[in-house]
Amino acid sequence: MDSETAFEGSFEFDVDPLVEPNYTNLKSAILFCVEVSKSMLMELERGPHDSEEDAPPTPLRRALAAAYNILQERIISDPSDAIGIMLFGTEYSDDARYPGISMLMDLDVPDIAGMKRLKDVLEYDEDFLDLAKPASEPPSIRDVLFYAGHKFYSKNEKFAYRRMFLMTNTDLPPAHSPQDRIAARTRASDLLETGIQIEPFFLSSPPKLIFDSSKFYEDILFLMPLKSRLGGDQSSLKRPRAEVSEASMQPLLTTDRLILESQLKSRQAPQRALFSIPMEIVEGKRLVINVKGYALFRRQSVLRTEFVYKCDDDVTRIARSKRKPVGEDFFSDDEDEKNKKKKADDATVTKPSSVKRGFLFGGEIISFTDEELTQLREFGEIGIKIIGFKSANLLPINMTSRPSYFLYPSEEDYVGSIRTFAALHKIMLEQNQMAVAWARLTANSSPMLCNIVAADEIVATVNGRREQVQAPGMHVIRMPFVDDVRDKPYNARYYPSSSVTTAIASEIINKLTLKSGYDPSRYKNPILQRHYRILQAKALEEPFGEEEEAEMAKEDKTVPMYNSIHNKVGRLSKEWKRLVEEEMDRRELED
Amino acid sequence: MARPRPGSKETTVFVLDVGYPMAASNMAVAEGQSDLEAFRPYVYSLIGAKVASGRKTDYVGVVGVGTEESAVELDEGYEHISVLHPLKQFLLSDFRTLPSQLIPPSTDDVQGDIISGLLIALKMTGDFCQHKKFIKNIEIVSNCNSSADFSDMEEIAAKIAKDGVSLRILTVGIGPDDLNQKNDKITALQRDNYAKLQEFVRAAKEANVEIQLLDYEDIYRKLDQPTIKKTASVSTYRGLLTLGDYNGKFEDEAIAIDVQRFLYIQRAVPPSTKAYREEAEDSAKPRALEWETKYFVRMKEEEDEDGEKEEGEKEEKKKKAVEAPKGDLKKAYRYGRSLVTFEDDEYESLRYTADPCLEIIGFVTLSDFKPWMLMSPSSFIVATENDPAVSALALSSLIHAMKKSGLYAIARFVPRSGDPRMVALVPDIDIVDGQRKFEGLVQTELPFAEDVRDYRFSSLKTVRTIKGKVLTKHHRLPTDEMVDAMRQYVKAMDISRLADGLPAAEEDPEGQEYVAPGKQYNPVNARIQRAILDRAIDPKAPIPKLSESLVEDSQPPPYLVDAVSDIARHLIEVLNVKKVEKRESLKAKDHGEGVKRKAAELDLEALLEGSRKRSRVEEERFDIVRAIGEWNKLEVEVREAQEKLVQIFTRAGEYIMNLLESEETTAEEVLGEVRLLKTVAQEMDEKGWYEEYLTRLVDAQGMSGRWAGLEAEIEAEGLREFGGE
Repeated sequence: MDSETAFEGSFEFDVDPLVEPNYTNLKSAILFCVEVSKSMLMELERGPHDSEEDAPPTPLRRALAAAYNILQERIISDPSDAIGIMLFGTEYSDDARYPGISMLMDLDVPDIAGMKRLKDVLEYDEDFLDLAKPASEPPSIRDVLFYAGHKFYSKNEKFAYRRMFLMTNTDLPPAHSPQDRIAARTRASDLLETGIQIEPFFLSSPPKLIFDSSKFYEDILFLMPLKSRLGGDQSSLKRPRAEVSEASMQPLLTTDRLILESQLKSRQAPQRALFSIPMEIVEGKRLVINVKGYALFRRQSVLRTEFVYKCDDDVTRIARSKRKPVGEDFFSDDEDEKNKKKKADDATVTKPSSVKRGFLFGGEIISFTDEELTQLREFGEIGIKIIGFKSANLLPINMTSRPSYFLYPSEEDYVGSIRTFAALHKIMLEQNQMAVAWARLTANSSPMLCNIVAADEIVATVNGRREQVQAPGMHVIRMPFVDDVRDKPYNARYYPSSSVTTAIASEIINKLTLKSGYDPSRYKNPILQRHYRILQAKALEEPFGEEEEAEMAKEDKTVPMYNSIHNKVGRLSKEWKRLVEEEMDRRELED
Repeated sequence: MARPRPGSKETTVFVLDVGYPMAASNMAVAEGQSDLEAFRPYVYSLIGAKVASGRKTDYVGVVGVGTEESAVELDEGYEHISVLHPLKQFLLSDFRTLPSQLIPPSTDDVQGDIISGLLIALKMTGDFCQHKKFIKNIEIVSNCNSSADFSDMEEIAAKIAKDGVSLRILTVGIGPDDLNQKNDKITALQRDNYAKLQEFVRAAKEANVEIQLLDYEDIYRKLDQPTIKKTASVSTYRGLLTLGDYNGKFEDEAIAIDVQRFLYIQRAVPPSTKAYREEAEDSAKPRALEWETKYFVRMKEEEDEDGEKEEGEKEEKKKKAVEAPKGDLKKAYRYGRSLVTFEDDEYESLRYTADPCLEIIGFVTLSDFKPWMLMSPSSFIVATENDPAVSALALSSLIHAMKKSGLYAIARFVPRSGDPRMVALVPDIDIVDGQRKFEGLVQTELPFAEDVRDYRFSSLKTVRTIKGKVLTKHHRLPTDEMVDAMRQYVKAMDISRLADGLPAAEEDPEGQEYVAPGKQYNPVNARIQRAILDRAIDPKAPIPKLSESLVEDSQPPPYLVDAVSDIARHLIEVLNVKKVEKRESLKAKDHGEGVKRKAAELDLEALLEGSRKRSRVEEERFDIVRAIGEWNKLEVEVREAQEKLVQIFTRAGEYIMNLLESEETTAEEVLGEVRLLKTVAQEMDEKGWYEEYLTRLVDAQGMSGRWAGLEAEIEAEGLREFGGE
């Protein structure tokens, strides 16, 4: 909290149903651990998205390119994150005690120089081949895990998430004796215990090389603490429980570069619950279960610019603002040196006693003490209380007020929550019902009425892989209060269309249906994409001119496909326009 | 019907009866309160809302009828009438005078004529507004117990009509029912006056003048309700809705309709607090705070700086803050650790350029509509009111076609240059009482690819083991019996249509949707509004509670709860959800009673809390027999015992894993442990834990070939079956 929020924000009543943590403020550390081996350097056939000009793809290139791809956006969207790339199985070693392991990019907040180096490695074959020389004797997985852990532990900063992305195509490492397994498992378990999450990305290149995780890695990575296995979803809100999901163990084909890229993209955000609260199904707390809430849909926007200042030592640094009431002497020069430093460095500023708070009313301020303001914000218990059920058709789609929350059960506080939730979920879908509830989601949020809608699981083939494209669970959709609803803009003129024009309009729109529904992954935000692209061009001194502009415009899927519309409904549209004119003329005559 | 225009001017004159007869207590609903006391909160809340709005063009005047003074210099019939507040923007200082003005006089001859009061109010309004455009209101509040001159009512109605004034009369202490029923408290004068008021309203209605006559019953229940600031809907986009390349080569065939966008849902934000400084005691008004902002950069502490660093500090802070003059600041984007600055003209190139537009990309079936994807408050797209109404007709054609085909549109929307979003356009046709017709497209933003978090969750229909086995029976999955019980409950608790709190038939005219959307007041806003008003009247007023009447709808209707009680009880029984006490609380308890506890318990605790840090391989053998033996001896509550059991399972599980890892373990040893666990699970009737555990175990033992036969042995011995059902 900076000084500004310490003053202004502490008693604001414009409480969103939930004050969500700013994801960009939650620093994560990601370490890519990429295997270098003969099999990782095996030449692959070019996939549908590979350029003919580039060197033939190898699993290693695929892995590094995917990592670079993620980095390009993350360095802009989450500039405080630490990211590193570790290669294991290289001829070169950083540390003689750990032969075969080298850092392509040290685990740190990346900078321009590091990005340029990485880019060069990917672009120049010489650089690439130089670093991609496989060791004659690859390091054991135990050492790889240990070294990775060491990299995380040696960072002084605190990270909300520490994650290791393990990329390999060797399903049975040379060192795989029972002792090796136990040793590796112990290391993996150490990482999990200290909150470092291991995300496996296993590469499979059939028919030559098929990755079978049961040969080795299942033994190693599924050894999460048994407690969490028995107790179910134990992930606590404060300290995320690191677990390897069953789905992530499934190998990824190297045929198409998009497979790995999209996997990385979808798994880069740690799955994090915003709240874990009781949900009352039968009134009077007679049937209560535990649910966790997630934000699946949230607007992502361009990060603001920072103010920077060129200091005396010629280094430009970020300047942080501090706001204080005029006349208060937080930064006064009279204070002794030590205190001054402390105050200026201190994130929060204590409120001087002469400053009071109140509400503006009739030109004056109606004063309240801090205790009274806190009292005003007491809104009752936290949780979701189901009031009853309604036909899902009654969901008012013209009354959306904010993005939804996703609910999924957890056995954390109530044993039997999952089966109860599952039964409710099943019936809501079967009967096409939604729940109506009164909800207060966190201590900071005000209560709301909401509709809770069940969503069924949908599994589909994406890039040749069976993927869950819709998670099973329920969505909490806020209902507006009467305070939030404005008048409908009633039509001054009511000109209902005739059946003839309606019929032709129907013909037009039916020809323009999107078969896959609205799939957000198809539509990238052109503002963000442009921002990433130009910022990167500026940082890495890449060209950005007309050619790039044209390329970006081509990638912008938010612009309708005019040619296709012309081909499908061009003739019909003309006809429709003529009919509307005609009908208009006729009505004018009638009037 | 014309849309309300934002920023219109408004006058409201309150004609308040404060004469001696108002000191009487006539109403059952407000027993013990004088009529005057009963209506005060109403007046405070109406005027208070106007003060709170801070609108400079919302003028309030107050006429007192039955005041000691007769400040109005007019002819006879205007005795004891005074203008307490001329028309003006009401401020806190004015508001605070109200309590002292709304007090009945001590002598019974002090009373006034409300009709005279009305005439004064009309004159005030007319003088103030002249010929300018105003919304004009007059509110009369009285218990009708003073004599009044009703002789010129026809003329008065005509003037009200001519001036365009909306008149509302609120009676306290008498209502329509009092005319027929015997009520000792009602005087003949009250009856007579009230009847005349009714006659006045009726006659005016015949002359097409709408006058509201309300009694206290009408508003009593609404007193808790906050006053909602009605904000006129503002057009936030005026442009074209297009289909096809209307700017390019297919211009002649592209569809383009003139439309406007109006906000429909907009979160009403409660007032925010202001920080101010209290001046010395003698100064009357607090002074709002002025703020200043300073900028600091953190630099590495220079080594040679006076050498005065203290030990502790050196460790803690190796950086110092240096103030950066605001004029020397530049803007930059962060690129990891690096900073990227642009020249002013380069910032332009960063900007995405796009002209305002609303372009349809395609259509999607409504059955595929995912309401949880919607990102923003809903707006309406309607045709502009052009002449001729081609756009209305064209849009109507599209709306009806979409409705008929069950489709909604996906469109690219640029409300102002360079700010594109994806939106859903859903047809909405609404015909209110056969009169006000509405056709429009509901517009709400959809997520971009970057806005979606791709979280995965396990199926709720099956349980998949680590080894990939798919189970359809598991304690995490509901049984058929549970599902049936839930079906009954969900059906019974249907609140789609209720009458008197119970499900109503389709044809029942009384039937209404319970908790219909957009009909409830926000209790939080209401409470803040109330707290401010209370304190404006009385600076010592306490913080009000959340109004119960406003949160009534946060509960299922009580009748319905009673009606479904058997079904609910069955559901609760079948699902058998158990609350787990938090581990922390158990520990906390141990701390308090630690010394007195039995030795056996302490041993168990030691076992259960065994250090997790130790390597699994080296972990000492967990004596499950002993742990369970101790557990049996425990004299603790069931709840607590159950929690301990969970811990035993956990530790036992870890222990058996270790056994499996050891080269020396025999299959019989493992089976022995499993048998033991089963026994104890059966005693506790803890099928779920046992099954879960066993599934894990079978998965685990598959890890190495040595245990390949174990699963078969477990099956053979019937250890897979929990039994006892």
